[in-house]
Amino acid sequence: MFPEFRPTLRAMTRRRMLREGALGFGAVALSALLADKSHGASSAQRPPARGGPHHAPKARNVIFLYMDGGVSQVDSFDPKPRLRREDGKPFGLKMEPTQFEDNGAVLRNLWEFKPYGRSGLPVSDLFPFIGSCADDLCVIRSMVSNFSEHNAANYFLHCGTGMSGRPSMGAWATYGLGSENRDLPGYLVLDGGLIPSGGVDCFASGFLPANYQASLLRNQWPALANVEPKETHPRWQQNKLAALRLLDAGTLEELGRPDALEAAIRNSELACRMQMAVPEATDITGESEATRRLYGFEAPFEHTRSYARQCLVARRLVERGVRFIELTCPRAHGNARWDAHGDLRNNHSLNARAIDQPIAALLIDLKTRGLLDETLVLWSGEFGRTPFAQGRDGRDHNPFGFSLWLAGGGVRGGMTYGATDDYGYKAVENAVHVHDLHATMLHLLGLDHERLTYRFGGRDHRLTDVHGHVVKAVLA
Amino acid sequence: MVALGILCSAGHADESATLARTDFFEKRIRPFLANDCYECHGARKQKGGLRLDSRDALLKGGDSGVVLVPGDAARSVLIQSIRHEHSELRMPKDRPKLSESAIASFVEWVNAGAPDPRDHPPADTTAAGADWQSVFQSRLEWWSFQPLTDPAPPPVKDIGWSTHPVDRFIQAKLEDKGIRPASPASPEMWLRRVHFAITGLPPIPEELRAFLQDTSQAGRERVLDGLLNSPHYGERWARHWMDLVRYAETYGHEQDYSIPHAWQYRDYLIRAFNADVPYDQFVREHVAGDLLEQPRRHPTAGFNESIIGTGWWYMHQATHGPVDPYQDEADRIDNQIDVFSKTFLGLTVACARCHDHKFDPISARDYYSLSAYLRGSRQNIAYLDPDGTLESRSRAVAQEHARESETLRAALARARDSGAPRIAAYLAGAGEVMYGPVRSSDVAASRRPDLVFDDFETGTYARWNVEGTAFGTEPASGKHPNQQVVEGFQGRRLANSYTHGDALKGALRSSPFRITHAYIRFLLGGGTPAKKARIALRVEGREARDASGRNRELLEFKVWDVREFVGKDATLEIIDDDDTTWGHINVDDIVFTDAPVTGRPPYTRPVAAVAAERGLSEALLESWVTELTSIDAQQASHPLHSWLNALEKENAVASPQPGSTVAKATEPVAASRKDTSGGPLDTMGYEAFATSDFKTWFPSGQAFSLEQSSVGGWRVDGGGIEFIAPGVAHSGVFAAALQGTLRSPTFTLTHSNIHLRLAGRSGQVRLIISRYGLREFNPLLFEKTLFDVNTSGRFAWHSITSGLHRHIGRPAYFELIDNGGGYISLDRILLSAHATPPAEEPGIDSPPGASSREQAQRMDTAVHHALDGWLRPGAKPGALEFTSWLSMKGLLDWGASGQEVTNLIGRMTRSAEGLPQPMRVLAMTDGSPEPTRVLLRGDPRTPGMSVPRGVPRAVSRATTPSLGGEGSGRLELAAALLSESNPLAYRVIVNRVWAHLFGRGLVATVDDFGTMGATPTHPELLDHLARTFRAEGGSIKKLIRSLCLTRTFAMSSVSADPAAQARDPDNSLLHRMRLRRLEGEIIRDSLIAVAGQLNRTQFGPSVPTHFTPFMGDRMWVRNPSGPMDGERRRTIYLETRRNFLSPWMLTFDLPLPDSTVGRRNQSNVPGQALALMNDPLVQQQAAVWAANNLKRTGLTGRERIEDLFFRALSRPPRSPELDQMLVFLANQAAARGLSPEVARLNPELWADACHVVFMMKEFTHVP
Repeated sequence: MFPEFRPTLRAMTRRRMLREGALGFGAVALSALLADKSHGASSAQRPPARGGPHHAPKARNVIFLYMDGGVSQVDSFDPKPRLRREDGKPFGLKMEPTQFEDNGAVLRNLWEFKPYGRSGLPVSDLFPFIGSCADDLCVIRSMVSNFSEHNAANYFLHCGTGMSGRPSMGAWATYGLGSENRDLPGYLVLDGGLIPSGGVDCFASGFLPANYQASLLRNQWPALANVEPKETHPRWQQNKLAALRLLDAGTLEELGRPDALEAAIRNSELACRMQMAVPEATDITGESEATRRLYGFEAPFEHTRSYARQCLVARRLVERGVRFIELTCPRAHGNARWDAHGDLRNNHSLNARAIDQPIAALLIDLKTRGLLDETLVLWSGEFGRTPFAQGRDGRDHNPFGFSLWLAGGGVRGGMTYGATDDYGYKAVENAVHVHDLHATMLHLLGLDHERLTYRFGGRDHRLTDVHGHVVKAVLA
Repeated sequence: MVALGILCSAGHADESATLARTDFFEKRIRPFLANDCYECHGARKQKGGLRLDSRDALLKGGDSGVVLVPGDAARSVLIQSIRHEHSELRMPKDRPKLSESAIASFVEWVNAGAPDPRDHPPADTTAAGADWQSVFQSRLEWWSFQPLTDPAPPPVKDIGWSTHPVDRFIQAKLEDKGIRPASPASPEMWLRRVHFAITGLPPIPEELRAFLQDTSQAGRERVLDGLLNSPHYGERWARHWMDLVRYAETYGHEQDYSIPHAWQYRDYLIRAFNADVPYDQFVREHVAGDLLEQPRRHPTAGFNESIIGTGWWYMHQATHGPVDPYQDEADRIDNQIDVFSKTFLGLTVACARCHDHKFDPISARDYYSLSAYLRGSRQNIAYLDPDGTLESRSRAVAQEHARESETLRAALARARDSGAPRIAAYLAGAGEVMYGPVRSSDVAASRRPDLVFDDFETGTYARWNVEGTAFGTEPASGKHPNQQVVEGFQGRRLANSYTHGDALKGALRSSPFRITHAYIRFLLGGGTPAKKARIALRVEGREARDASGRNRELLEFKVWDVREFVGKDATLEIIDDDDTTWGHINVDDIVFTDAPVTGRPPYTRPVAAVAAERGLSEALLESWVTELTSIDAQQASHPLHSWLNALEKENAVASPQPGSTVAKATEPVAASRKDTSGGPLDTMGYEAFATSDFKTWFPSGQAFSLEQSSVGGWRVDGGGIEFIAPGVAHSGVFAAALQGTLRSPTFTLTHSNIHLRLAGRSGQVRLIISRYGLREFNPLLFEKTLFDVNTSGRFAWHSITSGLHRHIGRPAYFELIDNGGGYISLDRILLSAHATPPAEEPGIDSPPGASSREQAQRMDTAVHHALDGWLRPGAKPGALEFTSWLSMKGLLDWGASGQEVTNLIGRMTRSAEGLPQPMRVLAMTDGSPEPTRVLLRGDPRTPGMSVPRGVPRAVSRATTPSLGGEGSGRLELAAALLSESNPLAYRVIVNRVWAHLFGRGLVATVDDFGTMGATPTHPELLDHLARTFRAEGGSIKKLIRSLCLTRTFAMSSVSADPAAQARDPDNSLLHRMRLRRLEGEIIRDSLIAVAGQLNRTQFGPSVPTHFTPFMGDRMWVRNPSGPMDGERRRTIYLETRRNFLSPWMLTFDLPLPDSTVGRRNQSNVPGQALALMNDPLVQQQAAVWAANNLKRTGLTGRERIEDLFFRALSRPPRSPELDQMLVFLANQAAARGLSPEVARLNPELWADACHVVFMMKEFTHVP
């Protein structure tokens, strides 16, 4: 022992020795000390800021499979025979301005469509695995966005406005409902390798408090910033934290137990637990061989394997009550995302190859475990692509009519909703605006998009601004 | 007010009674109906089937029946609901209950029979519609629009508590509620508070000890004075202001391009706060600092400070690829208005973009009138005098220029007398050198054969060292996969760095060689936004030449003149250091040659012999020959081209055969000349852009001297004189080193072609359309609107012939940019439907088919006339340009004045030597007023009525907006902000200062003083502060000093009164001080300061962002990561990249830089604890701190712990804390396996102790 510390030790009572000298005992004492008060303002522990759902929710969680760059609807979920007939001919409709203004002729769908399942839902050959889940899919073919540029469209899809600075839908969902896991944040983004253009602002809490912003989990260890203790031995950190608990408890008493300090202490405790919970949630070593095979861990394409891991982790997070999980895309085609301004065939083939099997596996796995009913899975890009070519073999951005699908969480499976024109260019029937998507998503979570508001800068803000209608036809 | 009841009871409807009834309705009823009811019960919506905007509709009622019973208020649902007495309805819904007096008016009105003059339901009204006036008036009654009052401090019972007037206001409210204020905080706590509040750094132990010696009022004043005079004060308070103006150094969006010189504004703020610039001046500088007649100057460097204050306007987001640039422009202006109005007025004016404000007295018309100030303004990268010498030196150069004018005129007159400049004689001599019959006495031809350095046909990079992967392992045979078609290379192979796309980097470096020939010629293609893909010539280790492709896969001919390097050793480098779109290079056919044009025959006779025979200067003749055999002379636009053609024909030699790629490059020019050459000047179909004397243009910087565009202008260029024709704007008159930008008035783009007649070297022209400013970063939009001007000394047309048709009808202006080292000169601008410029007015009149001899004679005559005309007004511009060109090319024979002119050129060149570079800052500048229209629903595609420029009426109180005048009018805007009639400006700023010191504003919503904002907890105190602040000259330092000396500020954060929790639950009355978590910047700065590592360097470019794996690693992270510890500078000096904001800062609630945030969130998230537990910076600083602690020898463990507490928490450890730390040390020493002897001074163990202190909540919270 440290000679000069001995007198102090001797001076301590046996009881204090017991309490403070033993590792971890102080923590127990402090927890007990705090247990009688239910303050606390951490995302994980505190009830939702605005008091829970407005009506009985259909979905408890959301998994958002973000298709970065925009998938071609006419090559995936919106078959248009006319394209084949007019392949190479001049486009028959007025063209809106496009990003590159290098508009070519009609470009036929490069993948064939087949009916799948009992519903006979047509899905292209890009997605044979997802096709096998057709009876669970609710394909909306009449999506409309306001922006044909990535960043604005991304901010719009994620946050309901074309600029950064607003809360993301995940932030709104967590703000509205809180989290169901006391050891994990309520809003997580699984970074598959490509952060959307527009940056992490897409996952921001905007003017909502910082505890509603997404935590970004990487697809490797450590998954979360600062979640990994730097101390060589766990005990070294445990010793520090034990001392810290005692010191903070003293400060708390000294300062009249102010709420803010008490909440900060609670968050320290949560932080400690997250050091365990995040690795636990993202550690898939305990998953069965069958599960791993299902997701595609043995697939020859490395990006299939990497996305498989993301999808599996997403399921584990749903099991653990994380409210909103977004998966970003892997680098299946370099940095190009789905943004096939040229070389469409190669681009979409590689991207589809990476995600098809893992996503189908996620749907099957969730269903098998009885989780799909309460988990809304959303698959969407920020816009679609033009049915006419950009240059010779690409497609430009198209926000006027594109496809996405929903599954589980209170939506009807095996259906399509809305329609685009004969070319698959613009929504012409039952157009669903991005605001409507948000309203519908919140509705499924038990939230009324008009009542989920936050006062900032002089007015009440909503995810849907002053727009949005729940698309009732897709509700189960 | 006339009592309505009496009138009605009189029972007759005579005229005056009707008027009075109407008056009552208009003044007391209609405003509330319009303001609080119509939104849901009007033309657009009829909630519950009820409509209240006409008499009939009101009487009819809604789905659930009648709402109004005239004469019986009690039975009227309308009255029940506004009284909140109805079982279900509480109106107005989701808004504050109407005031008692308003409700009383409604009751009176209904009881009087509800007289209602509204005969017809109004149509759906747009901006500032029919009811706006009455709505406006009622909304103006909101507290914040009332004039500043002058309340005396209220009387209090306990007169001993404090004599400070501010305390009296606080105390009076507490006494009212019967709440006892908290006891004073300890002196240590007070000191910690003022340190964090004023400088954002914790007190060092010495400061603490010194203060504890004297904690009296005087002692406290001393501390405050010291802190307010510390340079760190400005760093702390500038950051508060940066939150308001959404400070950022990049534009965000996909590419996150840098906002130029943004950090200069940050430094400006720090200096301004430190200098305690009076608030009115500070506001004026922010709004119109570029327009002040007497700008504030930096006290030592002397540069204009005021102008830098305008930079914040441009810290909005921006994207290089908006599909609709007009929407984009509207959005940028909207953001400027939003930030402006929240920051300076505490008003949410931007709400009025699409419709009249829902709650505040701001109409859409107000919004667009305000936007007109911005539509009359432009972005400027201002040129400031960095040290007070640039302006005086450039004035001196101008004066010298004026003196030398006389010398030049005299010299020219003498030269003319001596027969100069003998143009015809030199041309004849040159002709003989090139074609004359060889004489026996001649030395053999002076040109050697070409030498092919590498044409890549061997299929190997044998001549090169290959680095990186971009160029592959061998020369490419044409295009790579995914590459556009590559054309124009020679043979089968070329060097092409598009291997696997634009992403790869690499280089080819040649082995050294000696330069033997006059030119290096090669084929070049590819492109690069940042000039990072390029071919370069390195001579004796120094880079001498470089070139990049022009974003095309067609390889083009490129020649370097390397005559000055002949005989020296050199290497060639082909580099692709660019991984972005258009980040590659294609090179082929590198040839060393004496004649840059392939196929030209060598000279036939030596220059020396011909010069001697003809009595010409050999050097001058050599220059003539060189020029005539240059590649330039092959261009149809070359002034001697026609003569050369004639000469060649006469000598029956086949025209030189330029390489095929040369033909490609020059063909379009030649074709366009063919159409028009020889004909009379045809300006039909061309619309001249009014340049006249450029008096209506806007100069910025030192280069453009508009007075110079008169007769007899001249300048020195290289070894010659340029004679400047009248009516030409020129940036190089005094010195090439001077820099500047000249902007045109705004015009409406009416044609899809623009032709500019320009000359210049390293000049640049920008056409700015709809204020779109990102063209310099990315050519996606407006590709042709930015171009370089390098015209080899002569005027030439530059045509913009594509991309403009989309923007017809949009406002635009030109910028002529000279950023030093060259010049730019503009003669004319024509707008036209024609894609080709008009035929050049020939400087020399030569009939078609004239012989070379005749042409030479005509040139000779023209030059003589031009020089005469220059001396005595009347020079023919074309001939003068030709003469200038000759002079600048060194082809003009000055005869007897040769030496004198050489001397003069030397003097002028020397006078400009060592001119300092201007300091560049982001700023706003005035442009032309632009007509502004209300955009219906905020949509640029649906413009509505025109509105004049003007301050929102709620602020100006003027009934008619000002009609504006020249420029932007921003001075007028600043004056309106600061005028006596606007109470908002001063209320808002004192409230902000209060909020920073006390944790919450007297008005809690510091950026919103409108109806949706909070009302003041202490309105009298707010007005007292605003008035005092204003009367005492707007000194923020004084205000802070005064507030920090209050007893209120010195209270403990622990309540002294058990009753307080019930009576003042949220502490809005300040019965105790508020505990606060420190901002992320301050926590980081404190960590480093406590560890003893703080780098106190102030100012300068930001420390680059440190990228972590948790910020994404998108392809466009071009910049290398900055250091993890940020060079240990204060956080304010770390770069703010919108797309890469520090995760640390975001965890601690850094507001996203998108709009004004006067009050940061103080969230509480586990990420904060994780950061303090595991962030590498915390760990690193703990180790450094421990090492510093251990440097002091002879201390006991207790003393060391005491020191840690002193430094980090400004207090000694309490006794249990000391014990707890000692126990920890013992346990940790054991866990680390340290023997007691080793443990005592073990750095790791003590770093653990330091880390524990850093993690303490008290370190990050100030009670």
